[in-house]
Amino acid sequence: MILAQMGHVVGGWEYVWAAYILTWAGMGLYGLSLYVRRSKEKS
Amino acid sequence: MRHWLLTYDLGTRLALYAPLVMLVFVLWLFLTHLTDPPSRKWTWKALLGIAVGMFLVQPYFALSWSPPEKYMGDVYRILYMHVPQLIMAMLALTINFGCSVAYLFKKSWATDSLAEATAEVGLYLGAVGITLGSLWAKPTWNTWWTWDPRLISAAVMMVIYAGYLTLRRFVEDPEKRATWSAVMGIIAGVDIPVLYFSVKWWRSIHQVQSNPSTVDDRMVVVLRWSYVAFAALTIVLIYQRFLAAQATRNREVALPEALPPDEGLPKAAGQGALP
Repeated sequence: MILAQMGHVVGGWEYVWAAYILTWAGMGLYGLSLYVRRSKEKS
Repeated sequence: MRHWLLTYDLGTRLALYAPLVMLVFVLWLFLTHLTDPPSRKWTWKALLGIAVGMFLVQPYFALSWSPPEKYMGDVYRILYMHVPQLIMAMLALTINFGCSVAYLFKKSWATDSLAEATAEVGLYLGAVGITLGSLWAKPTWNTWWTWDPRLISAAVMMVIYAGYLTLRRFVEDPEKRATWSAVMGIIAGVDIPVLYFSVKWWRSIHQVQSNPSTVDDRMVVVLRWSYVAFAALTIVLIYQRFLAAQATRNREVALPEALPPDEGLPKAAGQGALP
């Protein structure tokens, strides 16, 4: 849970994990879409 | 207490400059590929291998090795994904601007294909980068979104380049499409410096770019590491998208009489009116 205590952010790992998972998922999906499109163009 | 890797001057220098050496190596691989593409097809696998290898170890450095930030604690670790993706997006879209200008001076399918590739990869990286910024904003600004100059210019960039790609999809004539999208690419490019300098030009809730001399050395090392990983990945993505765009263009502009009978697709490049 995020709490502003004395001007400090405490916790927030769920946001960090969400950011990393989103980035990895984005890379995977965009890479896959490129692979599929390249394969279609080659065939 | 300084980390063991940074205890000695040599260790500090190695940690800080190793990513830059890696960046030079990545750029060298890319540039030597351009000089003789057929004999260096392995370059793309090498670049992809570098990017994947760096991304496999990046979480350890970013999530464990790098120290918490004084005020933001651990939430600031989003920075290692948010900043490099938006910087790579801006670089890709700057290349798009350059291609757009170049196309109007000298028409070329290769330039047009590169413009298409950079716009799409830039839009993808920018969209993920902005979403990560929103994830960072919630715990630090207590809101997912605010109408701040930096955020507005980023949103405008996304809308413009989404429009750019939509335009490319709806115009069927390849030459008209290339010319119109080049004009739009030039207009859209105006937003890129506005986005970059917005935090300096206007007082804003979004922080200005940090100076490496004011943050922990480990943060600089991890950020540089992330930059190189994303740079290698961006080069691979743009090139692969460029090849797909060029193949599409060759198919579109192929003259029917130049095709072998009973085949719908051309086998060779450069059959269109443009080089």
